[in-house]
Amino acid sequence: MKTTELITSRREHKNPKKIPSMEQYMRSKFQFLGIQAVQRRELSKEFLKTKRAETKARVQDKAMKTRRLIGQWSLTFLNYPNANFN
Amino acid sequence: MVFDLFELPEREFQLIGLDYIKRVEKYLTIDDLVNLRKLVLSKSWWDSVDTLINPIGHLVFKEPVLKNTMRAWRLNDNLWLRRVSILHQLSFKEKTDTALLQEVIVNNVQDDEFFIQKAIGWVLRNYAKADTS
Repeated sequence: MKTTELITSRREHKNPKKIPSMEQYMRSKFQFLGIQAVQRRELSKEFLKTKRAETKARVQDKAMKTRRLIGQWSLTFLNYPNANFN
Repeated sequence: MVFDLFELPEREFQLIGLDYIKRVEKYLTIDDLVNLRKLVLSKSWWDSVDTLINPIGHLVFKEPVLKNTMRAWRLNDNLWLRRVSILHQLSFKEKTDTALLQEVIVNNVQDDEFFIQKAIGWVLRNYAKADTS
């Protein structure tokens, strides 16, 4: 399943009755479809399974070493903007 | 994919994206921290940020060089990055780096922001369960 299909099918499961209480719980910071956790996980189970398998295949690729190097380089940027260098 | 889900207005999509991150936690590599950081900073609220704590903690545990990043985040202006630096060792139990924990707490204990105070209380309470001495 593609991400776009996931989006369409989730919106079909909109449950207006649940929306007010869910929005209130998050102090109206976000819009909700009214799908609670248990149902959300049930609905996205297959999607996440596929995505997980894709990710697994990707990380087992030989490119991992390069990724690690890039990652270590990116730390220069990550640690810099906020740190106090004494 | 996760970033696409974060663009959508309905919160459920962000939560699905985070469900995915949880599921691939053990495949995360050092270069993913840049993206995890972006997720901490986008549409930040406790429901999303707290889901990212374990994946980030797991990654820091695997790659101790990232402790420096956690050390940097403890002084960040953004309260959510500070919350992550305080809470990333939440499930480390006896493997907690107490020096680092002390450092992140000392720098935030004066902050009266609700989400920071709660985070300090939470991490200490959890650590106390592991360290019975």
